[in-house]
Amino acid sequence: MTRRFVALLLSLLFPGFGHLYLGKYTDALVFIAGAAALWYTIFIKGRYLFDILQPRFLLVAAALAFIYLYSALHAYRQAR
Amino acid sequence: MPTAKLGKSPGLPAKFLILPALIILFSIYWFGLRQFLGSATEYKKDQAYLTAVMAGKLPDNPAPSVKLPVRGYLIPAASGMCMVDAGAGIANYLEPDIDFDDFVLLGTPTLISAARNQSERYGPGGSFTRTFINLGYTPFRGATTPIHPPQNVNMDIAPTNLIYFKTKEEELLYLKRLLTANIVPIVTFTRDPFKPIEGGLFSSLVGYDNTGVWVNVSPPSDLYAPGKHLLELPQRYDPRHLTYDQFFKYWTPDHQLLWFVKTGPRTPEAEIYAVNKRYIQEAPANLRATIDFLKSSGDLREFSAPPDVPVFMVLYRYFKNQGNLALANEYLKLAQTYESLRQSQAPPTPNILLAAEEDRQQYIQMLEAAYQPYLAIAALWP
Repeated sequence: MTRRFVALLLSLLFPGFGHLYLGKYTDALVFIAGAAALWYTIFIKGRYLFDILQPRFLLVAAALAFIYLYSALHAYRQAR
Repeated sequence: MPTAKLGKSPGLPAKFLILPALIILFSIYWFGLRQFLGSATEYKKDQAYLTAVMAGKLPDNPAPSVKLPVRGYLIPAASGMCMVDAGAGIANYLEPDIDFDDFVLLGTPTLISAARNQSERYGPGGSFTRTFINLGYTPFRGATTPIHPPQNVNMDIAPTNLIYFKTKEEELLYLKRLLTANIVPIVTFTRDPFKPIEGGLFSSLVGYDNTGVWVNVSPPSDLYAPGKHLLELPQRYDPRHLTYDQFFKYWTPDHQLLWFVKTGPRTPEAEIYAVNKRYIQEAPANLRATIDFLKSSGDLREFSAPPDVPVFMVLYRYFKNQGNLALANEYLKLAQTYESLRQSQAPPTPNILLAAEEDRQQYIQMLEAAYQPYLAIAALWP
């Protein structure tokens, strides 16, 4: 298993962790903050109010999925 | 095939990152995703309890259609009275000797909460659920999430009576069984289903057929205009029909429903009066604590802003009928003060970033205007 896959897997666990592993701390901060803000939106601001089929949930869920995938791919490519 | 190895990285070691990442992942699931993924254990527990506690009270299958003669109350001078509108209409149907004023008086019209325990938030604490309890009913809440609002939101509903349903279809079937058994539920909408007015709405659901449901949602009226119609009594109105598609569209995302089951006798009125007398004597201090909370930028989710002017008018009518004109006039003056403040306050801002702070400032203004009157009322209360 190479550094690239380790970075990718860590980022899939939580965005930015792969970048912490790679020493890319600024990138890590951006991804961690972004993912944390989206989770906060869902579970704190939106608690009791989200329906899985409502457009606003789908929008936030899509943004979360994007940030997870992008962070993983970015970490993978940074780890050359 | 190359052997797997963790090469040296300029960053933090992987072994120090894996555990925190797993903890975060688990926390996200436990505190958040559970409400979306559901909880089989919670569902089985709640449904088993519900079956036991409602044994013999509901038919196994609902009637093909039901329409109960439950009417709502259109309440002058204020919006935000949907809970009292819905509850009073149901109470008057189930207990015909209880009119709107009785409904308010049998609750907690004088309570000002100040987060003194787990059951309290800050602010006026008028509880329409308490009226049903005082009438001998047990309240229940259903939702399609296993995570219910905290106790200080459902202050008079026992935690065991917060019931998890898996789907809205399951809840709709349960609603029909309740109505067939002459139990009238309340549902909540994300907005008025009949006109483009945003904001949560409690509504009694009084019937159904093969095309939809009947709900009580107060119609448009100039009775709502602040500063006018203060002395008028609430007016009755009839339910309107929603198709099932419309109902599901506007039902809140957690598909909240409330219902009340007759389980015992009424609380003696003298006991209710004594409780409200204690509340009014504590009110000035609690009002001051609430104002301080709002001024220190307290979380607005910990503040409740329930009925004010209509409750003051009920108390005005009550003490006027009792011959206590001094106290009646204090409540009338308080209602008039609130009305004139509302007329002078700016309309709600469309800027969602500023709306909460604007609400906060308006609440502070209203409560500060109420402080001296509450001192006078507490002193005059017989």
